[in-house]
Amino acid sequence: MVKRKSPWTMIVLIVLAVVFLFPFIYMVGGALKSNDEALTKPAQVFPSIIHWENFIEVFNLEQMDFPRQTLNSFIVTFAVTLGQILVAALAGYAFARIRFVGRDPLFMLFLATLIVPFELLFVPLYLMLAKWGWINTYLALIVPSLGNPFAIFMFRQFFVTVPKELEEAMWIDGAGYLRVFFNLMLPLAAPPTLTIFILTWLAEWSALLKPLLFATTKEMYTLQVGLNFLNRGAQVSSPTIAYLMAGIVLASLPPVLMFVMLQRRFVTSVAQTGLKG
Amino acid sequence: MIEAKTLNKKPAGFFSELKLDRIRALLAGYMFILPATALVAVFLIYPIAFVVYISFHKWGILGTPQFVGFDNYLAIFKDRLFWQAALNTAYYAVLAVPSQIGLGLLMAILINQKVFARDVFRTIFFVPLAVSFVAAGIIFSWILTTTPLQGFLPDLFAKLGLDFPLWQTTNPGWAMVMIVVMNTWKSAGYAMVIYLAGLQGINPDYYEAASIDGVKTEWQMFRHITWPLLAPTTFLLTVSTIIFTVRGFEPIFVMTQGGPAGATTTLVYYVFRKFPNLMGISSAASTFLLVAIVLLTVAQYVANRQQEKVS
Repeated sequence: MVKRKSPWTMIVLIVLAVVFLFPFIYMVGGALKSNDEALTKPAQVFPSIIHWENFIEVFNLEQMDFPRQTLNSFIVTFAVTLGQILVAALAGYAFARIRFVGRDPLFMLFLATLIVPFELLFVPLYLMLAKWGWINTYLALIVPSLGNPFAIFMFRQFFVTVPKELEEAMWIDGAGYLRVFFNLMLPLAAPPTLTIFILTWLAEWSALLKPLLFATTKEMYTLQVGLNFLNRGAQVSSPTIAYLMAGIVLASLPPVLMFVMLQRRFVTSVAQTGLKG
Repeated sequence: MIEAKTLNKKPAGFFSELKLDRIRALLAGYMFILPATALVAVFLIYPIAFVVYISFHKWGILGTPQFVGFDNYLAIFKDRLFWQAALNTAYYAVLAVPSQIGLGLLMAILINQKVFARDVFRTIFFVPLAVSFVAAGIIFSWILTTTPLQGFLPDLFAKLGLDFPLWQTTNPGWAMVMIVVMNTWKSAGYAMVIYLAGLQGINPDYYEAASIDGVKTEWQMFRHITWPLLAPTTFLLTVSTIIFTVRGFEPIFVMTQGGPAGATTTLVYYVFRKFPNLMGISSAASTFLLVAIVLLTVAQYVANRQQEKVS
């Protein structure tokens, strides 16, 4: 912590801030242009006439089924997030607190799988899902993502720190493992729950490769896939670039709003992902 | 780790309470990990074995798979595009990792100086992480586009009398640079928060002592105190950023689709391109990359161990 402050600090910070904000400004500016203006004047940041109706028109686009894809994104994101939390909390509690044969080797095996990225497993996963007839269903978009070793790790690390005395009172009352878990441990586990909620929610909302491969029709695509295809087709026949930008603004709102609401928690959650190694 | 529950009971008879409790714990343990174990086994561990298996077969979307031994590996090792993809992956990492970490460090150091409105700056630098790669890729494509019309930045260059590289057509070497620009915008905030945590862990007494010892300029303070003390943070960031970059699919798919002329086809993108028609080839490339990532992780682990031993 250097005490003297040179004016350069502030100048560099402001320049960087302008550079970092610019893509957001460009995105909103593009969303308010007319389609023709967005196509013919990509260098211009602000619209000459503001077209608020783009935000309505994007819902009526034939090319992407924005309402359905928004719904799909919400369904998949929430199902995966909540499922992951339940599965991981149960396993994390067992790994931290219940003594059973093979516990520690199994936990190490789970940890080892953390390094394998989805990008290298999509071929076998695709073949499995195709064999089961799951391609282009919600099952394919949700079930393979439910077991997250990182989430299990986070819950285990938390449950290890919970004082044993808290559990003991319930054991003496004759409670079973399920009651201890649901009435005591899970309510206590708000910090890892929130961390996993933020990280998984964000990852699933932004995911492209999984829905791109496992969904095959417009009705099953998520927003990211729909926007990507709209971008590919944005220059042919009737231009839709302003609608595309409006769609991107709308698709970015949920995660950005979540960031604004949970800022401190959000930052520490993201910072924790690097420490898993 | 002995259960509190079992400690309070005394053994009595053949099926003692203690034994029953142990059995109950065993059953409960397995029940609790059953969903997670089943999911991880089916969707993570089995596919790892399966991808290796596929890599030894000729496997199309139709027809029966045929065992072909190491043919797929020989095919990728003979494929010029595969080696170009390996080089492109290295080129991407060499550009993306230092720029992301360097900018993150700069932002962290500036913000850490108790400047006015530091929380506002931190928010601005961090918020791109909440935006998807699809959104970021599309926005940057339009800002940076040179064909058919000039986007904001090429237009600005033209006004200043400078040439902006035609990264989408005749200057393929620049295409990766544009992807890195987008990636740096989106990801530098991550390095920043990790460095901010690292900076806050540095004892201010070190700076105090150094200034008494005659270290005058801020640059010297940085070189001799901040940078060495941040070494573990930098190491951790470098490894996690390399892995994250090598995995990168979305930035390339959205901005260049591997082009122009294969200039941005990385290994992961190569795997994607060979799917679904040449799944054996695709899987051989996946397995190759998987082994590389495992080796990198083991190397990191060993280096970490040694670092701990030294300090």
